[in-house]
Amino acid sequence: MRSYVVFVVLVFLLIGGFYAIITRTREAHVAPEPEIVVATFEDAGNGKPLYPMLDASALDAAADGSSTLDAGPPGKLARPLRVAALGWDVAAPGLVEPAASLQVTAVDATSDIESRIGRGGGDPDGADIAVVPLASFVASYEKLKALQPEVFLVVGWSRGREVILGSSGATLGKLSRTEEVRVTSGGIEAPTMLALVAFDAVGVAPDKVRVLPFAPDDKKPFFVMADRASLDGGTVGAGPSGQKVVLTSADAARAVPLVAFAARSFLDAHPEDVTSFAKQWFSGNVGVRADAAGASRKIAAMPKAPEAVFLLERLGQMEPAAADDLAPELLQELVRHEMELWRAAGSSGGTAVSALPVATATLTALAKPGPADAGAKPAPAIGPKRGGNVLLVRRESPPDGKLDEEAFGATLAWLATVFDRSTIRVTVKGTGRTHAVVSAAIERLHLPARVIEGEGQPATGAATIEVLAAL
Amino acid sequence: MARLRDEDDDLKKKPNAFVLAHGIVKAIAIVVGGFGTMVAFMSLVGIVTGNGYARLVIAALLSIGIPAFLTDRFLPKEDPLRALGLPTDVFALFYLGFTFLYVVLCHAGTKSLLVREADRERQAAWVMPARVVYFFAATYPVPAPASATPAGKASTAPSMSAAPSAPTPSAPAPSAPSPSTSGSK
Repeated sequence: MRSYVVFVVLVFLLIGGFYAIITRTREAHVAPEPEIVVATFEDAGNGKPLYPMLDASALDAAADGSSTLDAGPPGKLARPLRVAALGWDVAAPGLVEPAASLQVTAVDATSDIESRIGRGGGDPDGADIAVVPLASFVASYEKLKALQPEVFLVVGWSRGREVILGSSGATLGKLSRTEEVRVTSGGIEAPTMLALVAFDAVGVAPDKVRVLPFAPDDKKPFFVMADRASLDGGTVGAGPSGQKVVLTSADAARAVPLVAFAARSFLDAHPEDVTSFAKQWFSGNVGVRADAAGASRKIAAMPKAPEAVFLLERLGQMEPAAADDLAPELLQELVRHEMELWRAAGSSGGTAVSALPVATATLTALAKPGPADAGAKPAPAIGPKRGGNVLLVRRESPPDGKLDEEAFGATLAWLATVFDRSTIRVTVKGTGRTHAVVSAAIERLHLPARVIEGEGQPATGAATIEVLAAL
Repeated sequence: MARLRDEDDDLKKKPNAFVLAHGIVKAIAIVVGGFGTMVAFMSLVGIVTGNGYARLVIAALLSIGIPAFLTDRFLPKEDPLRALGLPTDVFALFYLGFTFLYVVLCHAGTKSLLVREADRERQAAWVMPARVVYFFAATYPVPAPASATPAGKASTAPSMSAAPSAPTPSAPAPSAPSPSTSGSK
């Protein structure tokens, strides 16, 4: 009996419910777009990648130039230029001054950037240009290599978003090249690159760095690479578990440039649009700097944007590119150095690139206008400071004890570039050698006045370079 | 020979065709009703939180826990033979009944909840489930018209920072950088 009753009730509910639903008047509803989903780069189990927009045929087509990915016909774009930026703060210059010719989307993850660039700007969910930290470009390069992505512009610098924390006893001033350096990583590219640059600056060999999945329980020193926003409470100077900040991108801003990149086919087909984008972006930079609070409020009012106070904090941790940041040599050096670091760290999974993925045409086109077209005026020259906290120490200890002055000068130049506000204090072993080496390097390489001679002799090795905190 | 009692009707052999039909109807009821019940509970939890994991887990717990509790209450402890098929009956009735109640009878009050749930699922790229939920809510999704999305308006994602394609282990060899960098700002 029960079975029959249940059967009848179920049939009634099924038929009645189905009838009631399909006979209703259905209304249109403006629905949100699905988020870009890129699961992993793994096989789906059937031999096909889970990365639908970059399957083999599309990659092959892109590689031989007959790309099905829309670079658009040559000449002026007949549609808005689509830009994807990694983070609302990075996207700010494109959001505060809307333009009919520019469509800017802030995305949350590097995988979203990869997916959008892979789709191309012809797809409403794609992008022609991406604006990201250079570290994210480097990390994505292998995945996007078939598109021949090229960095064509530095749009700004990160000043303090990325943080290296050290446990008790862990400082970059006391690192030895022979001791193991333990780090934990949150898996975010920009802080990781900052750490790679810092360890490289100190001279730590790659095989001396060990990445741990979690903070160790013992009391030996270790470092943590993190985005400031991920620190509990965002406390400056202190991180979780009592770790202290040892270096930030505010100290080494040139370690974390924010760059714009696009597929080479797009850059070649639409140079005018790219130059126009650069000018619009710099104009937006000026607008953001002029009224950061207003920009934060305006962006916070957009759907799914974070709170204005959070945006304001993040905007304060960025600096727009200045006119002299448009030098092609600077961009090339930054890209070359960071790609080498990333590859040496074993992260790119690929072989050395045959040619730097840098396009300088836009920089050349922008070089003619004056500083007003960049995001900010050049900062005043920083005077040297004899004392102050030591951020890191690099000791040169060549096997034969003889200092290679040319290589040493190049190292000085790189450190002065990366730590663009810090005093670089140099001491060289041997009476009078400090003055001779430093003055020769300054003259040959046009080093800034922040590179100064230290007093006394280096404690160990042939020479010592100390990077002092700017403030 | 002992005769079956009235309450032993359930133990009498039923026609094979009916058994087959009953099984099919129950299976459909459990699948369709189960989905509807999950979505209904997720939309209710969505009043409190938009977190996908929270909605999913709480809805799953309710969807399984309530009919399991009812089954336990209805199971005749002293006569296990009469319980044959009872759990699936309870689950099928609960799932389909709750879905009918939520989607059909209470449509006026639950439509907005279902639409919001479908929006969330669509945003999470669960496009097919979202389509079904829109169907339950007597709506169909349309993309935003171009004029409603002015150029420069961002379309996705909050928060900052990048994602996990992190490197491994080592820091690089100390490189002698090119002297082409002037070092001057």
